[in-house]
Amino acid sequence: MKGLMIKDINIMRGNSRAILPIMGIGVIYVFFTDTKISFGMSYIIMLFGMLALSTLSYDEENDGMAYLMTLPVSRYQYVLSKYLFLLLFLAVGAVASLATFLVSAVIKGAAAHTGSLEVLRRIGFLQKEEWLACLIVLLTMFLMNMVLLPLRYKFGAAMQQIMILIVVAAVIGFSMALDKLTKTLGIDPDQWLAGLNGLGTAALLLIAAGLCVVGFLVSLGISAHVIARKEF
Amino acid sequence: MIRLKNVQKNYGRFRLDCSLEVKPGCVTGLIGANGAGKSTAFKAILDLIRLDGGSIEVLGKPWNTLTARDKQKIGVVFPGYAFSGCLTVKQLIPVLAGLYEKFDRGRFLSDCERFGLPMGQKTKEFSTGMRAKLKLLSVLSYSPQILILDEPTSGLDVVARDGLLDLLREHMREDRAILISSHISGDLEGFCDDIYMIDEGRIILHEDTDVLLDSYGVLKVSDEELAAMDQQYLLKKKRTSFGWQCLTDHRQYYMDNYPRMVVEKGNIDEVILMMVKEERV
Repeated sequence: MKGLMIKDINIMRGNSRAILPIMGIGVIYVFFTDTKISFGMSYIIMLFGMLALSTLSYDEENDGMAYLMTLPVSRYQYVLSKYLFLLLFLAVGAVASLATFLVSAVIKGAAAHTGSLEVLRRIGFLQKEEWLACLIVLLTMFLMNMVLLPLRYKFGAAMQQIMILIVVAAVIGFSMALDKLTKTLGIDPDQWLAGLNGLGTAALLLIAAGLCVVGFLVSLGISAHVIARKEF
Repeated sequence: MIRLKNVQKNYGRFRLDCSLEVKPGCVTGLIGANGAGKSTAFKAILDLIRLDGGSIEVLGKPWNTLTARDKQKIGVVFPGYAFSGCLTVKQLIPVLAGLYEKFDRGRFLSDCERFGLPMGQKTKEFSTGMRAKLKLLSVLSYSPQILILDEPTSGLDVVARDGLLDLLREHMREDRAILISSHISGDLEGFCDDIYMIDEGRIILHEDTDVLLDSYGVLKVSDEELAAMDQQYLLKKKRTSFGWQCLTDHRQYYMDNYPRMVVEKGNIDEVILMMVKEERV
């Protein structure tokens, strides 16, 4: 399995010429605007999630999947390696975006003689509400990837763009339905969010982690099942 | 080391129904036209497709129970790229080292140098021949017990093909085996111990290569000669502008009994053509 992870990392390294400019745009945006941290994080996580998924296309080129299935790893291990790579890549993306925000705060604070703390306050770094929004965005992005991966294994590269559209449309549709439902039932979403905000940090992180673990395991199980039944 | 027993797979109108065996210390060739079922048979052995019937043994175990450790002993070459073309040969080394316990880095590097493979170039920029070399050198780098090679020499020039076949010969030992398909009959004539011929999913001929080359022959006869001759050892016949071409597996019999008859030594290409296309006697 180690070899498969190295393969994916090397594929990403080999495509750094295409990846770096896109990341560069994000970095420039963080440095030259006071964009909120939740936006910056979601940009990086979405980008890194898509890049990690793209390694599947590289696996599939020229009948490559058939060859990969002959390597000394089980089909489950192949799928697991892809999920672990996605996790690793998302973690790298989150750390990279945090580092970008911190470095930009230091530089911008020094340049404007306001100090780094003032910049961090402006971008929401010191506000719990902003971190809550960040957590919700990250969770949504992560779960979207968990939905996309099994679909990608099931329907292949040709359907990838359509699947992304379907999943995004499903997320928007779900949000709209939720909005309508809360209005019908007379629930105030702001109050609900405030309630969430009222929960302790540890409780929030625990809920998010729980959702991630469940999403990860269910998605991994479905993908493994799809690959186990697939012919190459 | 590999045994297929009545293996069946249906794809619409195509039906694979074949049995074959690859013995230790042997190089077995599988030949046939495009779409005859060679790749389907290979994929069946490697558990890449679900069978509709029959069974397969690989390394003495049922094909669908092979573990990752068993697969360490199997090397596979497919006509496609293998690993992504985005990787360079240099980037491929840690991948192979991470996958195969017996990966011999030194051997792989020296083989790549010997066959002129650039280390830092993406493999998708390689020529067809360079890719074919890389795939073969990759599998030889971890000395597998079984090699399953689907068209491994496709796209190679004569010199490179000869060099790689030499490497395969050096690789062979009593406890190892190779199953190879190729459309280049020269590869098979000079390399295989026995040959299976497949057509429309069925094995239509299995013969030791020596027997194939020594005993098979093509007779060129007129209508009258055909009518008068003993036809019990004729396998196939074909109408030509001068009369008939007949395939026999008893060439010496006809040479001894019909000294004036034109009897040509068979080669694999002719045997394939006659076996697949022409009418049974």
